[in-house]
Amino acid sequence: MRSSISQGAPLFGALALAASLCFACASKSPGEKLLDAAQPAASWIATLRMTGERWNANSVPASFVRATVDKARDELAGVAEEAKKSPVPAEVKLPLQRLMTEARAAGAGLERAVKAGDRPAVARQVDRLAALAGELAAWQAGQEGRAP
Amino acid sequence: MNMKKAATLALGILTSVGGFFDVGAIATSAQAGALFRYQLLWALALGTILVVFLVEMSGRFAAVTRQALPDAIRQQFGFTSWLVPFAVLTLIHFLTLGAEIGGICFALHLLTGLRVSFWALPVAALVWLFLWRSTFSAIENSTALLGLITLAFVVAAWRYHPPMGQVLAGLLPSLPHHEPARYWYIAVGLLGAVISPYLFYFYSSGAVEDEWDESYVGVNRGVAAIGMGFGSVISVGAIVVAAVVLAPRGIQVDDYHQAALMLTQVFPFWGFALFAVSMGIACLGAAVELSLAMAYTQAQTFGWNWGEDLDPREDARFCLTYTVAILAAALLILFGVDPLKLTLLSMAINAAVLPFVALPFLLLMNDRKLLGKHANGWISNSVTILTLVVAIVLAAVSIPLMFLGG
Repeated sequence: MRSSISQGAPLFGALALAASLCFACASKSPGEKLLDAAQPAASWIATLRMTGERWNANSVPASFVRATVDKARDELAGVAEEAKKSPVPAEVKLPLQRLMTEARAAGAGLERAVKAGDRPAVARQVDRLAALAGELAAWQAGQEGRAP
Repeated sequence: MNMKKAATLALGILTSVGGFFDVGAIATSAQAGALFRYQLLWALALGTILVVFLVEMSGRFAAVTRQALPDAIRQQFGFTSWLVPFAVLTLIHFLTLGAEIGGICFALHLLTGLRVSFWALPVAALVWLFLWRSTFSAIENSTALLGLITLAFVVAAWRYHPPMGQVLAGLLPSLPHHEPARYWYIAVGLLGAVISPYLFYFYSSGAVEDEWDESYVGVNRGVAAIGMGFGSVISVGAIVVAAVVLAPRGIQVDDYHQAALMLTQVFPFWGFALFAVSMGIACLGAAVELSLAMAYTQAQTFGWNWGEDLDPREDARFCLTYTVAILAAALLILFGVDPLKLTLLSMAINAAVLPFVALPFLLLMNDRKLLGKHANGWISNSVTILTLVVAIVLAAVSIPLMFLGG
């Protein structure tokens, strides 16, 4: 009996750890949840930026830019929707919603510029995305400071 | 060692290297490097040690007994005892086949701009035709040798001159600085990608197809240790490239479009195509092997005729099995299942079910009546049991975390 308990101990330990971590995850505040949701948005803005840069360097085709922009816009819309539904105060979520709207617009601008073969316009959208990435990072830093 | 065995060893090593990388390795390595830089290299190292031992054991078993694993497990432990591992194997083979077909479709999407789902049925037809028309050695050698193109990741990593201190430090397990749930889930995914159970079940059937005998035990050891060892270097390359290119920009790999940017910086003019071709070929090789692995497992479980070199009229049920499997797996992609999510789920399940599929095999490897002096020694047993325990503990922690809390 003793040996079967000791053999099962690592597994039970692991399950107990998983349960406690699940509980910790489930008990996150709305602000922390929104902060988590914003992380993929930062990643997609960075992806759009790199895609534009690589198109300007002739490293990726226009069809790839179009597909990446489509995917990014869906993901950014998802984050905006999550922000809209979040119970956090308006002064916290409205800046995030605005950033998502602007990032989607920058993605659309990037797609149009690539379609037109307009390299300076692509560079401008890349700069715009870089600025939005900075604003999002500032918003995230502000929320991290606010989190309990 | 005669010339034939030397050639088998050389070809075996090359095909193991070329065949090592697949959709699971691409997805998990890219995610690991992008999110945690070099910190998850230990999971890859652990998986490589285990896969070297498991593949060596399955080849040794087939060479000594001239039997494939499912056949032998069913005969030794009875049909009922084999049912659970068989059901588990069939499920993970199917999910992984879907992920590999998704990988080929995504590669074609990158090259043509057409939707991923558009390619599902043409890719299924291509995989099926390849199996229907080719012999075992043609399949094994062509896809795996073409798979050497994935060495591009190693070349890219080399050209980036990664900080060797950090790379070496990553080989030692450490706690994550952020996103613990994701860290452990990716660690499990890396393990599952390296130790896909189809690898050693397929390898044993392949050894029977190639008519290995006891004299191939040394060749088998060389193929397993050197081939698998060097094969994992490609995954290290992918982790390093993702760590150097994607991580500093804050790009996580939540979608294959993000991974597709990995080689465009170091190879500006052909890095994109190189990534797509590498992914397509690696996944094609794995999809063909997985389809065969499913058919082998079914045929050996139910005692049907089997053999890729047989005429389809002689093993109709074997051929029907891979035909149905390919079509069903392609439907997952046709109906819009996300290839990356399917891949990560399959890899995590691979790691979680390892004990179910590896334990009967381990018991068999200790049967001295069957294997005589070639039965497992304490080193093989200890390493395999230790790594299996690590895999199940990690899987037990991370999978509930991702589904319930993450």
